[in-house]
Amino acid sequence: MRGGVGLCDVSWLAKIDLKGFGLKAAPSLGPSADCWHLGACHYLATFDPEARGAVLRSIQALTGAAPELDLPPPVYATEVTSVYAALLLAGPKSRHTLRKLTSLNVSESALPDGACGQAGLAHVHTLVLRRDLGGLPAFLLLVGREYAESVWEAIAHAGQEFHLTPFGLEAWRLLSL
Amino acid sequence: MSRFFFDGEPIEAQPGDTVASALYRAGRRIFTRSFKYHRPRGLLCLSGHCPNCMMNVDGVPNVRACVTPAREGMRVRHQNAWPSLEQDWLSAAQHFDSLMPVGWYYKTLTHPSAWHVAEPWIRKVAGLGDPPPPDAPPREYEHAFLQAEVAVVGGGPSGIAAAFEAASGGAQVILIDDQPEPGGHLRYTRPGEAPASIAQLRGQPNVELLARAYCFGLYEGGLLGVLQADPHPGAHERLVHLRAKRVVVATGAYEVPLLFENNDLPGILLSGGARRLLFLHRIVPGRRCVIVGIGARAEDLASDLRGAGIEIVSLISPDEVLGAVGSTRVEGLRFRGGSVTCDLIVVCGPLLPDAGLLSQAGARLAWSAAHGAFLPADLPPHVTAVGRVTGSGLEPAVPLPPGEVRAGKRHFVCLCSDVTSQDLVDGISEGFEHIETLKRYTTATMGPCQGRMCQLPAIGICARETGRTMGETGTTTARPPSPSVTLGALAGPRHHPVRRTPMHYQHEALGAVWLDMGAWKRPRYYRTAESSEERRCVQGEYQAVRERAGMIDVSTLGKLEVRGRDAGRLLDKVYTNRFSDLRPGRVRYCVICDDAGIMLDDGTISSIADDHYFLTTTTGNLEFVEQWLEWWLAGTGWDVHITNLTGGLAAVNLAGPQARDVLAGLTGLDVSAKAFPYMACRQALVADIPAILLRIGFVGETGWEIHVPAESGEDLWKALLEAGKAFGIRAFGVEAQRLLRLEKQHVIVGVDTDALTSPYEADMAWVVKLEKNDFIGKAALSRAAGDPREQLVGFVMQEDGVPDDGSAVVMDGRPAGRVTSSRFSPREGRAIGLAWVPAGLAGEGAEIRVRVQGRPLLARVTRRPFYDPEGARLRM
Ligand code: FES
Repeated sequence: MRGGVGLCDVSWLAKIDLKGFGLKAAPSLGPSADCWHLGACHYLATFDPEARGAVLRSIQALTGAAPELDLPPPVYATEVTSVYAALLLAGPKSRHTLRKLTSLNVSESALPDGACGQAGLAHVHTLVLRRDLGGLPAFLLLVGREYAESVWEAIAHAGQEFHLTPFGLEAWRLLSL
Repeated sequence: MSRFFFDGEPIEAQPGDTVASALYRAGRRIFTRSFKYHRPRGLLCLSGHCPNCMMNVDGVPNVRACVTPAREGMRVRHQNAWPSLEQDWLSAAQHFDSLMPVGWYYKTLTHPSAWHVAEPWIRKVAGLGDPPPPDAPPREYEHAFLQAEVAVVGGGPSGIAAAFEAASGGAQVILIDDQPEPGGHLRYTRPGEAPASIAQLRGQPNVELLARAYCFGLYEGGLLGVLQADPHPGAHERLVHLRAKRVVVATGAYEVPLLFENNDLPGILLSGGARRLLFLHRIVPGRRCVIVGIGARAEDLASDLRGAGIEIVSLISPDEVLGAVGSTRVEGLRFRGGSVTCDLIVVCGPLLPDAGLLSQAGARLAWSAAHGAFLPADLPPHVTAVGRVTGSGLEPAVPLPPGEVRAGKRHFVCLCSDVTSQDLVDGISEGFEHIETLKRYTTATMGPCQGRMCQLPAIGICARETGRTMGETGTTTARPPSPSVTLGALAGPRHHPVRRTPMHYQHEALGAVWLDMGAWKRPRYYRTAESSEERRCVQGEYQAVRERAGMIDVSTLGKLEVRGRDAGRLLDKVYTNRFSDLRPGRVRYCVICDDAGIMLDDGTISSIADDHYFLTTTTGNLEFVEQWLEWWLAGTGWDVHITNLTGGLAAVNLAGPQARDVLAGLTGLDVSAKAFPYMACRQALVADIPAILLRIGFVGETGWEIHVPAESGEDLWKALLEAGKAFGIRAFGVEAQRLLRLEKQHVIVGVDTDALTSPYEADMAWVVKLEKNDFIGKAALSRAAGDPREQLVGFVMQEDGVPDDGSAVVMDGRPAGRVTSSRFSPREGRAIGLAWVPAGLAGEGAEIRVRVQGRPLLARVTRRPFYDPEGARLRM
């Protein structure tokens, strides 16, 4: 896949949805979590489940409002790990594969590393999170879990011309080094 | 060297050959038969612009052979001729042309009986090509979405220059070229002199070249529709949606034929066609050639053809030509003052700017007498045009003054539909003077060439006959797609999203027969070892629920979390029921109505905490409810946050007299009626899985809806099956559920209700709390609370027969209502159902008649549920 494109099921990634009027800027959740800006006062944190304790503590610190002020809590956190299946599409041809599936502009300038967008992908609403993997362009695709199999098939089909290979946790670890 | 088959016969093809060039090399001169008269037609333009080489390639009709690369094993068939192109019996049609004057079908087939006689025959001979048979192997089409700062349409010298310039400035450029190689007309007018910029362009990293791709539409917002042939071995065609900030149109010019008698004979080539044969395919198109043309272009052509060893018999000016001689191929040319014999006539036709795309994009086409052509003007701001499409570099037109265009019965203006200059003159004399009405009446410009070959002469004739100028006459409208696009390419890949519940493969293992609900797959019923017959399986599932315990996967329900200080306030506003007073741990049934009091959806709302609610919606309405809530929330500034949890939760409805025993074995929670009453909700571990339990009952038995994280859905399912074994538990499907709920007269919104139903009419007045502060639909519902004109009621058939859903309720032999759902109830021993009836017939015990297989059968209205009308079993 270093020459083409690979697809990895990373649905085990922990995901927490953060909403609330207190979220005027990206909350800092420590080095182990990525915070994706999905909309006004709306973020999504993704992180390795091993870091759950630390991340939850940071979130906890955000959710408590100053009790003396009669204000709503600044942040509501909802566990959405099971809501989304996460597919990681990585490799030099990942962009070429995505272009066959979504009208979202995934070019380097429109969606640089760390940027995200939402669009239909193979007719399924998808969060497209750009998260490069050890120097390789890579996209984390979050779809409703119930669509996962069908979207996996569509991506695998679109990637055929680039010899798309599924890859597992070991390869993922090697690549993220 | 490769080999393909034409009408079953093997044909050798050289590298670089198209289907047409290989066939030409093999000696074929007739490529098609014309649409109406079945006249023989041969290669003309060799650039995909005319209708003369359309064939069936591997089952796909109307493929232009001259731009289709020959490939090993291809199966090519002729079209529109029987039995063969050489001997087409239908060509007899040309001897009856006097019976088919212009617009003949408008004139002769007006009487219905005439049409009935003619229709089968017309169907047989009319139309172009045959669609692939239904059993033809499917083809792969794909879509792609590209973005560019600059899109250049056309890979000729000006397009290349424009792309190079933009790319040098650092812009991201996509160059679209319909040829296999860039170079445009230089490839066949000055072969071997390809501009150096082509190589430079290929070296630019910010330029993407789409070869063998054509732009068929220039839409608003800088969207270009592009069709690319054979993008890779796995796909037949790729439809590209290209968004560009700037569009440079460099589509160049194309050549059109001249008008003279028999101008359609095989052996008459346009100069571009002859050059392409010679320089792109190394084919010498004839031995004795007459060139029709004047000036430098004709002289150059003559010297190039001579260079290939062709004898140029004569070079004749277009206005001297009278007609070609021959029956199935050219044998000579008559001109003023004489005639010659020849086997090839090459016509230097007028070169016209290919401005269709510009015109689609909103440009005006202005007549230029100097060019003898319509030139694009007033381009939209993001579109520019360069090169020959602007008229630049085109020599002054071959003089074609309108006065000299001759009318004749064998002077073909429109090759696609066999319209002659005489037909146009006749059409105009019959009153169709406007170019647009003339087009519709004669069908000129309406064929597969989309007016490319015939528009100019048609306008010329129209102008002359009506005494107007070309500019006054104007052009017909350019619309996308041009050129045409296959429907398969527009439809795109054959991928339909499928939603599977977490227990999908458990159902499969249990023998589920699937039901598609939107994109969801749900078990309709389960086959058993004893039977796979639907009725028996459903009956078994039904009995398990009524007598023991049953479980159904309800993960497809929409699930929303609504949180925030003002959550109750929003729910009070959007739902007809009251929720702000719902205590944590309680569940309430809910209905959404719109401003007009129409029921839009129903579901349940559970209070988890004062600022935390858990909503379920019907399977198909999740997206709608989510948007509806967001819509009414927008701009309020309320502290409410909605999160869709649908895919994240697996849900099972466990129901039946022994459901409690099954559940008690799996959880430490006290599930007694006292501790966990009807319409309560709790959070607890079930089979060691964290779960939300709602005590509700759609099917009318003691039951729980158990929600767990999706990844634990299978475990929960298996644990319930295992724990329920001792009690005879059965998994049940949607069909049994529908029957069970019908016995309870539970309404399914969208099935039993329609776009006009209020809760009052659906007999659900109890869900509306008119005493509540304002809520959506309150005003309309206050008015409707009186007496509805129609009523949804239950009924029991009094005679044998199960009405289909949608059957009519009849009164005095006239339809007066309709059945929305009906099933055979094992309990009643007859069919029961829900039906809309006029208010006058809605009383308890009223007799109605329901049409079952054409016969009005007696049924009795009942407003009380058939099963457990007091709901005692639900509360047990
Ligand atoms: S000869 Fe093929 S389209 Fe004209």
